[in-house]
Amino acid sequence: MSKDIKVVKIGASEAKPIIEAISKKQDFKNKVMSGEVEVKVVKGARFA
Amino acid sequence: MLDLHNTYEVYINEEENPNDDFEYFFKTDLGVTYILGFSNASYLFKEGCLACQNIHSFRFYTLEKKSYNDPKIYLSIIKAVKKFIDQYDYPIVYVCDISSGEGLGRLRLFDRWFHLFSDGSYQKIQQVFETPYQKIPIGIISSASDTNCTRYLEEIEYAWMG
Repeated sequence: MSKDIKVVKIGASEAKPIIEAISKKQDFKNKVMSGEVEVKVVKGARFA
Repeated sequence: MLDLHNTYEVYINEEENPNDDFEYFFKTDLGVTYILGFSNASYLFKEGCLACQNIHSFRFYTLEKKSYNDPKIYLSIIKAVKKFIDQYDYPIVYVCDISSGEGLGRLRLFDRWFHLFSDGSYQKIQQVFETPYQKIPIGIISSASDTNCTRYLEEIEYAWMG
């Protein structure tokens, strides 16, 4: 890891609510990629 | 100089999706669809942080389980991230995947990408939050004129410390 990246240690219980929120969002991505959840795309205006 | 002309065209996804506030996509030459999502990241902060209310978390993923080496893919992602920051002036936060154990690798990937597209118009800070069980790498990219950039990570730390 780069030396300029700060590491902050936190207790498991303190981090629990935010880790749950992060996990929930990442679970969605994993479900899409596994085919469990379907995401549709409808082409709109060009963005970039 | 980064050549962002040899990239895929990125489109707004008009399909309603409750998971992202802004969603875009592009399709590769081999037909793989990449979703680029930006959603409000207020869940990472305490309610009182007014400066943090416009921060959006960024993620990308494919709709198909295909993966191949194509430099146009990451250039297209970089192009969309730049456009998002330029257009809305919202900082973006990326929380690297904590489920697969590849989080630190992802942080390095974002680091490489940032160095590719950084022309002095943007700033980036990164930090790793470490619990007894896992490491959670988080990075923030904002416009160079954003005077709150370092504060955002401090606010996340403040929120996590309860």
